[in-house]
Amino acid sequence: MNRFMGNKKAIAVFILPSLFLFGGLLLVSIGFSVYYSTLEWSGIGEGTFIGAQNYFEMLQDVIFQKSVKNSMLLAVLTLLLQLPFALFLALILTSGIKGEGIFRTIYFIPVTLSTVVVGQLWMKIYNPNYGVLNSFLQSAGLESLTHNWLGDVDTALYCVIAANIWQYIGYHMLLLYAAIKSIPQDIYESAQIDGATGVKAAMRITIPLILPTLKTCAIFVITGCLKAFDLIYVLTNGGPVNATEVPSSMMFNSIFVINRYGYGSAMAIFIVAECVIIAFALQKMIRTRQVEY
Amino acid sequence: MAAVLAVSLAACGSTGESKTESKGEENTSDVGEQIELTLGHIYVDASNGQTVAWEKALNEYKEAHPNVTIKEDKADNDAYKTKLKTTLAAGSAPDVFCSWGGGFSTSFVDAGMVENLDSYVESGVINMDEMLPNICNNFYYDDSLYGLPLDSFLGVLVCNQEVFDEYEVEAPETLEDLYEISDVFNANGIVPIAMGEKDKWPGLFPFGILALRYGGVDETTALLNGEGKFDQEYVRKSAETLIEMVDKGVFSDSSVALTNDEALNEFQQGRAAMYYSGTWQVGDFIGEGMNLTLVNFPSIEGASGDQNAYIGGASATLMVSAKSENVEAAVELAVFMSQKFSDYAYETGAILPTWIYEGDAELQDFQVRLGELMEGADGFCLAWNTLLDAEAASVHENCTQGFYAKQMTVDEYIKAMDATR
Amino acid sequence: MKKIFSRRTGNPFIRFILMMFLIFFALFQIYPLIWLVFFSFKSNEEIFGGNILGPPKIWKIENYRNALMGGDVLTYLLNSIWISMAVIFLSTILIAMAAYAISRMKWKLSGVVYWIFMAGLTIPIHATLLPLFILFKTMGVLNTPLSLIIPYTAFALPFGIMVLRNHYETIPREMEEAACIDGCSIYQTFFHIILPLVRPALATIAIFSFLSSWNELMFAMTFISDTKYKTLTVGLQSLTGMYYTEWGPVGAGMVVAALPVLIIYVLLSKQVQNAMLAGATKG
Repeated sequence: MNRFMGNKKAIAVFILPSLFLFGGLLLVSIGFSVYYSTLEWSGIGEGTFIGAQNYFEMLQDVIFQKSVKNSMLLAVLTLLLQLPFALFLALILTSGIKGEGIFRTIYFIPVTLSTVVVGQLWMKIYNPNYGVLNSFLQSAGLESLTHNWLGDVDTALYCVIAANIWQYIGYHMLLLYAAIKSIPQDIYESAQIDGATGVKAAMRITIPLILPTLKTCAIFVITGCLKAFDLIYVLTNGGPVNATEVPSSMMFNSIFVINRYGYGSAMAIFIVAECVIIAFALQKMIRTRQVEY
Repeated sequence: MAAVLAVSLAACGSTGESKTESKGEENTSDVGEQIELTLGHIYVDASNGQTVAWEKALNEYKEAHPNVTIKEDKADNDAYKTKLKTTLAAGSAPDVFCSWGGGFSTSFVDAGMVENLDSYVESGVINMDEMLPNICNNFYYDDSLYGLPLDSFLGVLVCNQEVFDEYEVEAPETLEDLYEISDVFNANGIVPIAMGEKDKWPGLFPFGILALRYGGVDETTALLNGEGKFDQEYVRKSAETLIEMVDKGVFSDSSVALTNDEALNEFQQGRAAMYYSGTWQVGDFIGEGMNLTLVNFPSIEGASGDQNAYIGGASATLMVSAKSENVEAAVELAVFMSQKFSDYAYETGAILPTWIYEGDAELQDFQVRLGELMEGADGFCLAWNTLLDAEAASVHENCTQGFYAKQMTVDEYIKAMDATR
Repeated sequence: MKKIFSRRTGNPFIRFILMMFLIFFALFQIYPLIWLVFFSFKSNEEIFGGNILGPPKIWKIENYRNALMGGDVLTYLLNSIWISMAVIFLSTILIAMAAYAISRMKWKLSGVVYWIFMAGLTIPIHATLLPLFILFKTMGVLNTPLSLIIPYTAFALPFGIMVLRNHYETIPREMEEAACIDGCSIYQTFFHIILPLVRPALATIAIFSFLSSWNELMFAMTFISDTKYKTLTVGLQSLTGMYYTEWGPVGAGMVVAALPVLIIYVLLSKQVQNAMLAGATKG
């Protein structure tokens, strides 16, 4: 059996194309970025080697520190709001409720939209004069709550977070849904004989069995938020007055707007390192044993 | 190769003389040798007057030069900028490409990516006398010319005459007038000046003009080109007055939440009475049937700068890649496009001209008006983000946005700007 | 075979509450889109004052005509479709095989290789723009569809491998043992026995691969200059720039961009549903 599953040639056939393609691109990207991060380079012509100076500057940059805090706030809030919700929805949808297919499709629709669309759409929703949000508040008599949503340094970040959660709940719901669906029925059948149904079944059986997928979702949410860029770029471009900056938007700005390729590359490496460490930590902390059933 | 050079040199002579007629005359580079030129530009929106003019000019060039294949590399403004920088960073560039003068192209020129046009001026390929005087000022680096003009603009206060008539107010002549009419508008639920400060650059117009009112064209231009520090009285006064304008409600409270497009929308729908920016949209507004009054930004009593100076000038430019395989042909293409685009786009009212217009198309009223304003001007200066280098421009943009968001003080601004020097 | 035991929660009252919750949430998810479809048919007067929240009083179909005629939208649409199809095809095969090797086959470096792929999840795409630009330029594939297919496929791998690995782990080892005893080669085992068992997961990752390549903007903008190769996301960007004064056509453009994805999702998800039902009756 070991020889069967350890067939070196087969392993090579299975893994090498992917590894080559991916590893190659990964190496090129990270390799170049590390190299650039040691330069002061405007992107054109020659750069000057300055060692780790970009990193020192970056860590002391007040706005960069704020951007890191913002990205963490984004990650934590999204995790706390989005994941339990997605799980709850997945549980309900797999409990044999009517209209399962329709709901599943509806919840997933926002995921299918491109970020440009989501950004443009939510910009219009938040528009202080014609947006759905303020109009709705007005017609509900809550005019005092109407706001200058994306233009107010206090509310802008939360508005971005809300749009982000809206778009991706369906994504995680689908992943958890698929995981729950692949749990064999017999487990529930035998549990039912033992008297465990409904919420108890969910808590004792379903959740532990889909823990690997839950962990995967958590890692996706966190890394996705730490490196988020698209939505923020479209909605606020880091503004107003840097209120919604995140490391990726600062990186983009450094490279493509103020022409500091080296500085921007240092930020890119920071994001990569940050995500790798956290993903690694999460994997270790939530140990899941391989379940044999 | 020598044959092509000889013929194109001969062509350069003739291109200089006859500018309106290019069909069939000097068969410049067509010795039967097929060459390909890449042209990078931002004219993608088919409904825009500028794009129409650009394509007309380009088609005319193609007909006159059947041996040249033009490969267009176009993208809309923001995407184009990212792409251009990426392409240049990778060490290549389109043979001819749109760019912007002042700080934007400094790094390109310094790295030797842009062709120095001095020799072409000397040989007559580029005839400076046929262009408007001083139009290329922002395209000189180390006293050499590196770019040809594409369009010029003027910063005008566009007033919706219908709205003004409705509330019985007149176009403001002084800053005090502006405050007075703003009060009237605000009391009636109309935004005085539409402002889309989410995009950061629109807010630079009021700041820029205040600097001209308090400090003057020469002082400001020197400062922006690198002389001295930002801690000067006229800079302070400009910042203070801008904050005052924001506080008095000259701009709407939600200006920082709106994009420029949304602000334009506001103005067009009549929900804002005025719009202060470049002349780019004036033609479109007129086309939509708006009744407009065009004036310079109000003067400030007691201020010691230029009271009739304008934000304006030429910032978009056409440059030639120094690494082009067909440099002469590329320069020729650039000169052709620069000139023809100026003529055709001016005729349709899409831009202000950069070359002396000698055609006989009838000009619309607003073009005549703009011509009047230009002739009576004390001087011009571009917006700060064009002339400053990229990093200082970015700091300036962020701080100015901070003024509109009521989050920035004058001292913080001065400190941040001086830190970039 | 009808399910005899279901996991239905007994209490009908609770079921009602849950249903209400689902409906309310569905409304929340979909209302912005309904609003989008509405204003894609509205005229400016209605959008900017007359009728912000409700359905259009007058259905302005010209908005769609404007959006579709404005530029080579059809070309962009087709480009996006076939590039995405290529990506789904390539990535699904590569993912299925690579995840299998990592999770089921026995070799020392499997953990390390898994982490190499996971590292890919951490990369902010925009940092790779210039390095990849230079790479593709050297390879000579710049301004061809390959310059998009290659990175899209590559970046779809980590996610797919992670998901599929989880699914492979739910398959009992006995499957391969039985196949081995029966004399199957490893390839036969994989293609005929294991793969069919994870069809729902395959459909799921196909959907995600499709999505990420369909909606991608940055690479599409930078690597492709020729109009004939441009994708829909790039086209949508210019559309929003063109119609700043009229939200209607912009809305129409967005609906047109979203529709194909929706259709593909609905089609694929039916497949997912059927595959899962078939799987649910396995002993």
